[in-house]
Amino acid sequence: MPAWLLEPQVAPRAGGTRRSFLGRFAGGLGHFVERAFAADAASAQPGLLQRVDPRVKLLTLLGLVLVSVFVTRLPSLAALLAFAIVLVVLSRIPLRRFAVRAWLVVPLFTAAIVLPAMTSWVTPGDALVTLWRDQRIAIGPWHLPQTLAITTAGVATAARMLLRVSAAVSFSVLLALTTRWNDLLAALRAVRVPRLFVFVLAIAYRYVFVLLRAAQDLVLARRSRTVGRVSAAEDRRFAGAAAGALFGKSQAMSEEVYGAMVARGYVGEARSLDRWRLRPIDLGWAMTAMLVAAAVIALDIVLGRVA
Amino acid sequence: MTATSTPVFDLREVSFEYGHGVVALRAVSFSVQRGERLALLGANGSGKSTLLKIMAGLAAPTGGAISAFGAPLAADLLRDTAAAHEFRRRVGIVFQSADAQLFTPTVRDEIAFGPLHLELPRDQVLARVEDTLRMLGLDDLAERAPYNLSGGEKKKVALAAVLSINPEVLMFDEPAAGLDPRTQQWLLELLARLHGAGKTIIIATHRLDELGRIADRALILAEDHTVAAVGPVAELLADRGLLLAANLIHEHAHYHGEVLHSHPHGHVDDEALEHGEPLPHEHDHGAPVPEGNGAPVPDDHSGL
Repeated sequence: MPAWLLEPQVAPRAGGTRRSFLGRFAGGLGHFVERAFAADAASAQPGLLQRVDPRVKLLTLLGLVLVSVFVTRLPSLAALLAFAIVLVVLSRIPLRRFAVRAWLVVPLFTAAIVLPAMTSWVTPGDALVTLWRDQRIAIGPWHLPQTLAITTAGVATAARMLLRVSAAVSFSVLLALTTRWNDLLAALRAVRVPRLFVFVLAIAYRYVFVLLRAAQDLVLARRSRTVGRVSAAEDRRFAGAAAGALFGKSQAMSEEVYGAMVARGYVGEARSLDRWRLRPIDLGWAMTAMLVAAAVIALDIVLGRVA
Repeated sequence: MTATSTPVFDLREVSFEYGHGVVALRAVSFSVQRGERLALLGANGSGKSTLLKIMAGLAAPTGGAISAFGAPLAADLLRDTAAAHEFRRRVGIVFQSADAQLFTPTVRDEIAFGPLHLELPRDQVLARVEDTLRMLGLDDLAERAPYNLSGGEKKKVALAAVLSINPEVLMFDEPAAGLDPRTQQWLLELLARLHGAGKTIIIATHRLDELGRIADRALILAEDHTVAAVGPVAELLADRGLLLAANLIHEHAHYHGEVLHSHPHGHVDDEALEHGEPLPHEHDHGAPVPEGNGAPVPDDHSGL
């Protein structure tokens, strides 16, 4: 045994309290897993959509997503979003959790994209707010317009895009939050989604948790051997190396996960423990969803004629 | 043990090589009889897990032939859904890593997964899930996510997920790995009950403790991935040379005063050796301990 291994350990100098890149990364991984399980917990709540047959729910919510894509008038899109919020409440999903899940990332990202569309540069029209007038502004080789204003038409375009994305994402998240994963896969097969597509989804969902656990272990192992403050550059180097190691591990892991599924009879066909029979609540929900969709489309047509 | 003329598994010169040229098994031949308890012994990396995967129809040998229940176990055969279901109903495998096996939203779903995908009637699936939950004392965990369970609980759920299929043949890859002593004892008792119920049990392990309680016969894989020996557990355990060569026991060195003393050392309990020769301490008195060479290693005979 080497002599250094027998020497008494010197207490390390205390490091800073600032969370490192790695700390945030590990926290992010844990948060992802928590969110996934929170979704499963929400799907077990005794709410309205949780009681609906997964096949009916899949078709109706996808139908509502399609309606969100095709209607163009702001009141129609707002009505769809309002309907989604009513469903969130009736399905007993905490509104705050839903908002974080459905409206934080995608709609905010969309907002960033549609910002230029609000200006006269992209969407000409009546000026709502003038940002600058008769000025020569250049950013490097690019010259900005001499006059730039936020236009009424631009705001309407941006609002339309935001409402459309928010409504579509809301219906999709509602489907995910109110349907157990296995039921969702089985419903996809029931509506004739190709077996290979469902199979890839099933494997990916199972595999992502194994991979996340491995990633968390790597990060924790590194943190347990890190004393004091580590530079952000070093953290990033480690993250790069860890990503490479994970990639190597991933094949062996995917084979294990797949083997475990195949060994228990999985042949690409997802099955659910629940027996699905259409009940009055399914028919009631389907009728309601269709009525809402029809009403929204009618409103859109009427508003189009008025305009 | 009720031996019949048709073995459950019959392997002839089975070899397996991974794509990048790494050999896992070389010309492995043996049979497993119905109702038998067989231990696959070997050091880490000797090919035990690969052998189990081949027997479970999860990997196809790159050489030789394997038959299960009297019919060739070919990859083509398992592509047929009916044949695959028939085989999976009869053969269950509990993986070493429970994490790879448990990723449905709840423990209940996990236990139902096998029977459900093997197309058992729904009522039977529900009844089996409840019975298995009760038998393994998992009732309280039924709605929990397997991800959040302790290591021992995960192992129990992994086992429950296979038991609910009620296979004739149960295969375990290092079943005691990571279990606390109480859970290990529980597992031993469960294995005894399953064997009593007529199940064929195949266990891959590198540990010799409790071997006499879990297997009647053992196959030892050498470190060159060939079969070093097949025979009754007691006979194999008595062959110290064989166990040393297969890296299942090691030369254990410790100190008597300042004198280095070594003897073969494995983790074999008295019951395992009931019918064989216990491993004697072979007193090879070595050189006195040099000064300042660190503290003597205690002669700790607890499990690794």
